[in-house]
Amino acid sequence: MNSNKIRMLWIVFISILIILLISDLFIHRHSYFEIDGLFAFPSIFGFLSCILLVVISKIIGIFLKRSEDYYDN
Amino acid sequence: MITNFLFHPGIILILFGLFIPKIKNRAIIPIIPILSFIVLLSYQDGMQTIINYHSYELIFMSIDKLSRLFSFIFILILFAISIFSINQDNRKEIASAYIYVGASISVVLSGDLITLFIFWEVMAIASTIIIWYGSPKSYAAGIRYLSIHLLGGTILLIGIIGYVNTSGSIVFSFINPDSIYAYFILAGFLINAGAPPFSSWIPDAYPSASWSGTVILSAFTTKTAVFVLIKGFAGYEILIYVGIFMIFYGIIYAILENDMRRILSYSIVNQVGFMIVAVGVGTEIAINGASSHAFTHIIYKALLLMSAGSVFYITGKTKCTDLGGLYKTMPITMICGIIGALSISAFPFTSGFISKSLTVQSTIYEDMRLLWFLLTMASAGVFLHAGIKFPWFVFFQKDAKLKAKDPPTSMKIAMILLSFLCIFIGVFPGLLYSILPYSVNYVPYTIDHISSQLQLLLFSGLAFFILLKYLKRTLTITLDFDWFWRKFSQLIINEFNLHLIKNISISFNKCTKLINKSIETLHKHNGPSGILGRSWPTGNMALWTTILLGSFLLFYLFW
Repeated sequence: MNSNKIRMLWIVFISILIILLISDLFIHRHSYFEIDGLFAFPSIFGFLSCILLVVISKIIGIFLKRSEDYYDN
Repeated sequence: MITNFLFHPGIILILFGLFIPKIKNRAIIPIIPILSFIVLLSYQDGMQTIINYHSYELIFMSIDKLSRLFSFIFILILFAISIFSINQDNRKEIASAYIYVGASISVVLSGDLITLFIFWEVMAIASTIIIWYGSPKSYAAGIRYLSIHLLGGTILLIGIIGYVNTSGSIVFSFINPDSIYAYFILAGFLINAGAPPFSSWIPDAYPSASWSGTVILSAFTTKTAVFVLIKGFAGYEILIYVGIFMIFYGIIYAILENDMRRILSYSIVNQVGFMIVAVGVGTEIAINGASSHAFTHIIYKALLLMSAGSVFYITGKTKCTDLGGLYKTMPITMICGIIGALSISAFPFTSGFISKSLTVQSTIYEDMRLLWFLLTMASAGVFLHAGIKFPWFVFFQKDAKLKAKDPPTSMKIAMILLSFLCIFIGVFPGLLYSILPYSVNYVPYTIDHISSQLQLLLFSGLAFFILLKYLKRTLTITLDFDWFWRKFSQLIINEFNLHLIKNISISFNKCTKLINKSIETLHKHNGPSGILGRSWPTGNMALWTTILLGSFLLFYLFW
């Protein structure tokens, strides 16, 4: 894919995200546990969860990663 | 009685499976599951077949909503797999698959613990054979797989014997947690579900099978385990903790993994974790969640593995580092793979959305706040590790310049069929909801729910692309609990051998030294120049005799 196409895809993707965020102002999301009713809660929670999971896996990787032929010998 | 024995959806598959290597036209193989399905339909709920064996009444077949649901999905997926693997030249693999699936259905339909155990073991053996048909390298993985399943089987057998002895009944229904044997049975089942510390058998064994073998294996062993857990252990709190561990284990190991089929295998552990959490919650909506999730998961995971299997079949490669850019050359495989990926991520209007929501909703009804946050976090993680990672690294990223084309028609038909089902079930949730064990009073499609789910998933997508450079694949594997039996045990044996040999040689040296020393001592005293070996003059003897006799005389006179 050339860089123009990639830029287009990014623009489309970011616009969808922005539309979602704006729509959250108008949609009444049912709140079950107080905090989940806050503005853009699913967006923020999803984003931070992924960062947290990647960080944890990176840390675990430091200790547990081995080369592919580790068990071959 | 013999007709009852034969008219059994599982036994039909096993019997036909034995003849598959003799069938000349491969295209007629998919008819067999249809036969089995007709037999299943002919039975009403509550129908039982009982066989007397010694003093036991074996409930050979027991039909209820739950067992019907699982048998139905097993037959359906076997049908799709039969079409997918028409090109598989090794016909014995699909023959083993029929025996394996027939045994899985027999486990699901069995009403007592003895029948269950027999078919449980048949499953272990038939699935090992499928692994062995993978490649010459698969042999060791198959042995490791079989060892773990035989261990699980033995633990299960101990549990069953103890349970039957104490309770006096062989009927398999909810098992009271008051005896230790309940926990033996639970442990036996959990090993098949891929619970810790034995989760590693899934990513170790499944990707060792052939391109079609991995698809076959993905659907049955873990889902049969979910079925027996629903039937015997609903509401056991410990299952919630086990499930949560499996969910996050699956995500984290999949993030670190390079091989696409291993990524999808870790994701099986993750998905089964969701189902086990639901079984642990144990309410009606949670059980509906676990069973509907198992149903939809079987379809989209088979679809994902068919997509990966097609890539492997065409390119011969499975590592993300070797793949990329296939969207141009394998468009149908890519689209079907993406539909599977969206379904596993529970995107609205796919099957995952309407099934996983039931489980998440059940935690809200039970006011399990922490669990709800963990499951929501995990839903974001599923999109990260399977939903985007698999399609991105295989079909997009950098173009690996591989020569490829879409796979043969039969494989495409199977993938399109399953893609259709993923969307159809997602768009018409009522159909699946109507065959679940309990009645469903839940509406998945509300603006509120769709909006939350889209926000959660798309912002996870944003995180994926922002973190992309940290997610680059490397030529590595990640150590797991299986290190203890694959490496640590080897180290202990080596160490033991080393010391044993050392000790033996030390003792041997010591012994030789001791013997040599004794010989030397003997030689010194008794040898030609030794004090005891010398020849003495006769005069000495006469002198000593005189002294002796003289002393005796003096002694006699003066005492």
